[in-house]
Amino acid sequence: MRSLRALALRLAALFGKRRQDSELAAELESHLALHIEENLRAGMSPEEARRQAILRLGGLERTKEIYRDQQGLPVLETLFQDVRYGLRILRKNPGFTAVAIATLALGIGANSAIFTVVNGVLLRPLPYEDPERLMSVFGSAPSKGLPHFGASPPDFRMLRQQNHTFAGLSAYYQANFNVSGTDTPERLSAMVVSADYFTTLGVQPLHGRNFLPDEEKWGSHLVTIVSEGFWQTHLNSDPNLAGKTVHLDGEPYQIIGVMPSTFYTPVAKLEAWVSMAWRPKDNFDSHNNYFLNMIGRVKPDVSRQQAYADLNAVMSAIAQQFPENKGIGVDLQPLQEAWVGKARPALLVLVGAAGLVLLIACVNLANLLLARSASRLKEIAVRSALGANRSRLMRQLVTESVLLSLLGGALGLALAYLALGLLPLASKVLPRVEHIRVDTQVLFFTLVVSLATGALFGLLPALESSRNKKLSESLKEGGRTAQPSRGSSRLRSGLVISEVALALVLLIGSGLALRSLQRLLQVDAGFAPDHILTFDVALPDSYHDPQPDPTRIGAPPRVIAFHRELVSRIEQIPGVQAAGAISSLPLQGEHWGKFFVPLDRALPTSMDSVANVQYRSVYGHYFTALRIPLIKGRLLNEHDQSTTALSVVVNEALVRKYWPNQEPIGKTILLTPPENLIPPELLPHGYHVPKLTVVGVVADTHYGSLNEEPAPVVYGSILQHDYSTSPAFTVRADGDPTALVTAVRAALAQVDKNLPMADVSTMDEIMSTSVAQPRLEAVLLGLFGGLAMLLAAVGIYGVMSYSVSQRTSEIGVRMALGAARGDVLLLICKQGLRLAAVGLAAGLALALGATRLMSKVLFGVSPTDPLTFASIIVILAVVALLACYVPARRATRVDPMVALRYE
Amino acid sequence: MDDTTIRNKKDVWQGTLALMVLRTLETMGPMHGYGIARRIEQTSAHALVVQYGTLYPALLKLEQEGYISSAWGLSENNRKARFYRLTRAGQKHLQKETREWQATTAILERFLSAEESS
Repeated sequence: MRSLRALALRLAALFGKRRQDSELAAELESHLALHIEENLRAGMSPEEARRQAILRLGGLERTKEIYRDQQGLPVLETLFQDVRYGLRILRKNPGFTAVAIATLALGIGANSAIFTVVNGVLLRPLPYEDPERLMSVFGSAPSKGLPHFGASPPDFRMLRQQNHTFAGLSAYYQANFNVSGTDTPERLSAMVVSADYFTTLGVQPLHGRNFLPDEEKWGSHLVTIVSEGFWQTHLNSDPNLAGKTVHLDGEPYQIIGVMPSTFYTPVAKLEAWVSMAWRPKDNFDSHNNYFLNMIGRVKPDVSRQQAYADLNAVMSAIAQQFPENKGIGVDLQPLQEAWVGKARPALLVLVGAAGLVLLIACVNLANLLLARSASRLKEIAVRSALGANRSRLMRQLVTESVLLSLLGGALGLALAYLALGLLPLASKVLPRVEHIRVDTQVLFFTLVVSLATGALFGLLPALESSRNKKLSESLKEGGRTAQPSRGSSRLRSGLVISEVALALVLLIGSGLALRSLQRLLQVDAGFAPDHILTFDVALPDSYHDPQPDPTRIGAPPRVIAFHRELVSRIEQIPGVQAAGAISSLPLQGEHWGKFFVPLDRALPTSMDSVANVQYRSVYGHYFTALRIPLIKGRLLNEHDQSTTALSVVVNEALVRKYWPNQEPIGKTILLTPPENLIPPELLPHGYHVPKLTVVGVVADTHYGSLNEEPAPVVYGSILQHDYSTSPAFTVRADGDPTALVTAVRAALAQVDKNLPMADVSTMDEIMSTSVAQPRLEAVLLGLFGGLAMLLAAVGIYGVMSYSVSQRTSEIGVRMALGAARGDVLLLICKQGLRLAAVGLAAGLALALGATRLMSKVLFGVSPTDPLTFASIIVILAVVALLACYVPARRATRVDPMVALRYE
Repeated sequence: MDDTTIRNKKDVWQGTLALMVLRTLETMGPMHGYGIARRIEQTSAHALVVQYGTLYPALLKLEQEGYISSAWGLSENNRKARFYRLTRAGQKHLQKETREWQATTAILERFLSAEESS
């Protein structure tokens, strides 16, 4: 393209200017000479010949200018010129430049950092094939208040087989295995998956192969795919997998594949995937065990509604056949939403807060620039008088502000990068932390935000100071400092008002987050978390019955013996006060539900009306170790044997719900459906479901998170009831609980040397993890709020100082006429406080609307909490007063004589 | 002619001037700026006055586009002057532009005479 070539030449000409200028001059000179010669030949006198030629040549300078424009690229040249000039101006005012760049760096950096997180967590698609077609599939029973839970293995298989809308439907659950055959027992974090798990996600192993459908059959299921990390440490990265096995819970598993480390799962540090298979008549493989997570890939062009209708049709067909399924359907959610949805409200609040900080920074800078442009008015007026038009002047002024914002943006990006280095601290709070990184999208975002910021805070002052009328006046005023026009001081006041308003919104937001955190920390968790050591032990298959017997009372003898021996050995360790076990620890989520039928009223007539409660199996001195208070009756103990009456302990929430104002001790319950609702083939001949007696009531303990009401819980002893295959042990110590780890590990090794001690933690740590997200949110919002307050204070201070310096002579006159210092102080403070008051009123109105968006992340405090609103308003008013007071004090020191003489 | 974009007056003038410059260089051979200007004025029987403020930028543009090249030389009166010469690309461009120009004027002529006769 010809024009492209011309453009390249013109670009090149930007740098070789001077030589060509002289060439043109020479050419024009020769042109002139030729013309004069010809005129001479035509008989003119030398003077006339020269005059005519010069006349014809026209404006020499103008020709040169047009030529120059054609030669280079005028737009770019003015830009370069403006940039050079702008840089010079910025260098000449290092104080202003530093403040402006620092303000911008904080504002833009906060936005870049939050955007990086939002981009990685919420926006970037999951790293699977066609991730938008992946759905999380849940069991759902809205009528029982259970919107989302798992699926039972038979339900899953039927759904997979009978649906018409899914290209793939897979199931998985998390499990831990003990690796044996190594020197020290080791626990492996694994996922048990259906054979089509990886194909549904659309991922391929790095080496080896995926699971085959046949490997879901019991007997051919001893196959595993390991992680790249496991492959490196345990198999020396040998790509030849033939004949490689690993002993998991004592069984030899053949290693058939290696998953690349890039394969993403929401569970951190997974080391293996094991094929899901059930031994015939396995207890888990029944319709009322809802523990499988499901991921489905809908066929192309199938909507969520179609898939929903399809799967629920299958579920109601199942319920026809199996009455225990009555009332249970499924629900769907896009996989990404299911995995990161919980983080969304908190992140969006932070996005809003960071945006507000930047907006306040913009207002502040606009104010600074406005104040500065007053002192530059002369310079601008001179440029305008020399022929610069308004758009040219504005271009130059905006170039300066964009220059500032780009510098601020670059520094902000560096700050964001540093701040993101702290992200691993938030790994327990945020999903997909490993996907958060500064990439081109973040760079682009920062660039756009910087440019927009520069234009935003530069435009108003530029418009204001390039006003023609003002310029001519400033020239007329001669050497004196220009008085600000009424319009410009109104603009300045408007900026201060909006700054105060925005700061108020942000501060109220952070105040609410802090109050909410405070409320959360005040929640009585229902146990004493200090001095508690906890750890998990996974009991391998060899501990369990090969053929479960539904009529047996209590856990298998081997399991009971293990608990009894381990707890008594731990309790013998010096410094241990009490030890016990529970199926899952507090604050870890609601895990284990059971049917619940109180026998003091009419039995439910259909499965729909059978209630659900949380169940926990306990052993030893669990309640004592955690100091969960006994309210009534007695705790479970070693005397609750298979031969004695079956006892349970319940929590107060259960009493409140089912036996308000009644004596709960002695009530009898079922933890199964009543016999008339159980299909006869599931009831062994002559067997009756056990009736249990409530022997004690304990205080409520938060098993879910602290911001949820404690659910009704039934506790049963493993001596008489169900047990967990991976119980958690709790040990109360006299002193530092972590000092006991070695001794406890030794005790465990004495009981079974093949079992590793997993998830070792203190209860304090578990507590602090459970409030980590609200704490992080409150800290960040507090940080943003503080920044906003600082910026607002600086803004008010700047405007008031400027106003005082403008009013020096007026103040001098007032004082000469007898005004006391107090009067002057009041005069100035009143002016500033009036602005602050308007700002506070506007901010209050804004905040009432804005904080409603926060309701999802608040706990125990309303979005319009009057106490928070009032205290923040007072704080901001005091800050505003202080920001006025300093310049007002200066005004009182004005010497009337000096002020008057100055005028 | 698919070029239906509306051009502004200056562009039309510049485009026409460029064509005249190329044509002048084709008939007269290498020539300096002054000579080109005089030649155009003479050919148009002084109906056109070449503004030098337009001529030199136009020459520069043609050179940037590669249609002409320039070098310093001596004029017939032994004066130093910058001489412009047509390049091969310029020759082709001139032929193309001439054809297009003729086509345009023919259409315009037909159009204008039709308008008159109706």
